[in-house]
Amino acid sequence: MKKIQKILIIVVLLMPFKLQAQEDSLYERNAYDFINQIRFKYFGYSRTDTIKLRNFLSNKLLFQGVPFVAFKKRFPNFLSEVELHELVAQFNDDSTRFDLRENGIEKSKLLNDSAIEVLNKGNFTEKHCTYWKFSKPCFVRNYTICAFSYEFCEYQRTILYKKEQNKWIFVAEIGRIYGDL
Amino acid sequence: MKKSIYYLVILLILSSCQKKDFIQEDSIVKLTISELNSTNAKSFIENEKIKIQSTGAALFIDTIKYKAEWKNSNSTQLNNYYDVLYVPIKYNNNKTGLVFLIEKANDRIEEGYILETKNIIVDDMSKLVAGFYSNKMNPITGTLTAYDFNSKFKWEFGYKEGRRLYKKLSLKNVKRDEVVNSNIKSNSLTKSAACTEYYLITYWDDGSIDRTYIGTVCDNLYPCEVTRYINPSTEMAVKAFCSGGGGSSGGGSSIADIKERITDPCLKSVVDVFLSGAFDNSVTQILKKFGMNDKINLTFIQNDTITRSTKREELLETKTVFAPNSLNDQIVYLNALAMLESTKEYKASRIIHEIIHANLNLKLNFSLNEQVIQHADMLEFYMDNMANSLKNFFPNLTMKECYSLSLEGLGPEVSNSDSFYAYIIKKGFNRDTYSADNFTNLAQQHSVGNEGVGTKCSLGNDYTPPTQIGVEIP
Repeated sequence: MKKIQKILIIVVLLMPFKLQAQEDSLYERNAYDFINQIRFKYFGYSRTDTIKLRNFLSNKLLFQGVPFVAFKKRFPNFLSEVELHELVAQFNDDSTRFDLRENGIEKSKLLNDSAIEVLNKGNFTEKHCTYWKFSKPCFVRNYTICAFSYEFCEYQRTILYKKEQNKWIFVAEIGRIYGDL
Repeated sequence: MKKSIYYLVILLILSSCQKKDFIQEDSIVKLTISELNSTNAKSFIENEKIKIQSTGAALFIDTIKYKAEWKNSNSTQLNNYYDVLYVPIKYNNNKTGLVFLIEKANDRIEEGYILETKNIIVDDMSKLVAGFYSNKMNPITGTLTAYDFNSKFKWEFGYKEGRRLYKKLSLKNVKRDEVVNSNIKSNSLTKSAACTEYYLITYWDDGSIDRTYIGTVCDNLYPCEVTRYINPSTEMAVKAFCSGGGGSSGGGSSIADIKERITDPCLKSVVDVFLSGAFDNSVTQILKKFGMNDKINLTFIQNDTITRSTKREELLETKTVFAPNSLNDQIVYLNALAMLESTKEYKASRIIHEIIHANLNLKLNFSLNEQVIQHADMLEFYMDNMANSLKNFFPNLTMKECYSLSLEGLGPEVSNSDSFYAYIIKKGFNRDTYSADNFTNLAQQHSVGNEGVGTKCSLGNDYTPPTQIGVEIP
């Protein structure tokens, strides 16, 4: 009886980790699915083009210049107040990073931290126009709405997508910080 | 029979004499009309000389009269009311002549001018001129340039195989009215200069327009006109001739060549305002105001496919680069498609941004590596001027809108800097996603053309700059 009690206690203690793992797995699946769907629409020149990418997703210094006042004026009922706040909470979560697995994103070459450090000490092209920075996709409404930010060559965009019939569809650009040439 | 032969011979002799007399009479009439036209033309020129009242111009007119080959003049009927008289001048490899439009009813000369041709060889120039007025220039290729008898540029038309390629007109723009300053202490009134800018405008058949800035004169006492001169290599050139000092910006040597190749009507209407010179915010004025090189040569070109590099598909809104094989000329590419929904205020803000880039490109010998440096420079030195220029263009904009629009396009690196943050706080902005004071909020509303924001591009809604009026200083 005591043995069963011990097992139950262990199971109960491990439960949150398992749930978290399941949740992570769900997020991971959706994140890879989302990025791979939009991968060839926006990044790189063609489907044959392999892009260089940080080997992690991070929100640090991304999601800049997103004014929800402007967005709401244009799409007043697209997102509820709760959903907007949920998104902002995710934008601001820049302390954690999501490490990408090799071949997780199609036609991409992942650069590790030391490679990026070398490039960042280089000239403008090496520093800004060699590799892409991707944010963590921020989902709301049960993974059917996603805000995503990316940067390349002094051009940063935050875009909102919605999922319809398993396809991610562009809704609007909700933020942009770019360097005019 | 003999008698009848005799009468026939007499009749033939008589009829032969009558024909001869008739021919002689016709020649006399022709000669009289030609002489009359020449006499009228000469007196027309003399009158012009009196009207001009300038020694230089009088000498010029005397030279024309002396060099004109009146004997080789040709005349062609233009229509029922007018004839065209062309008098070649022994000058400039016979490419120059005098043209007179003669009203037939009373032999009065309606108009007269000096005509220069380029690449045009015809036997009877009066027929060519009559064709010009009737829009029948087949199969002419070349140019016709007209000057008045004071040597002032009137117009130029370019043709290729009879099809008109362009017309070029001179344009005077009074930039602002006289400003009257009163000095209360000395109880005096002083009139400051009213400035006039001079341009050569070329209207191309594809709808595009080139404006060549000739010069500016800021004093009514010393009129400045577009005139022509012949340089040592006998090539014709056009410059601003200012008969006196009076604050000319270089007296013709200061030439900023501003051109545009824009087909999108909305974008064109915005660019044209920058090029018009009829406004305090013309390109040259912006360059001067910003302490920049106002002799810069700029060409605005619409390019709806410009990208930052070959590694990205996203379209750029604007891009300023050195013109091919040039160390000075700058090309500003504008993407009408990428700014399709944007307000005119937004487009104007992008153009001002690019004008500064064009200048910094020259100043810093720009390469892509300096892009961040240029944007840092813009933040540090040009923001106030950019915002104020926009306010001048669009008085209905709030200063906050002007600053938000001016802060656009500085890039993630500058926008992340501490100095940027300090600047936006100073201007009443923040980075709060929820706040109406987010520094990008207003600019992005202009960018996407949100309802109720700025001036939209639609039919009949072309931008009209506010009237520039003199300001009385008490």
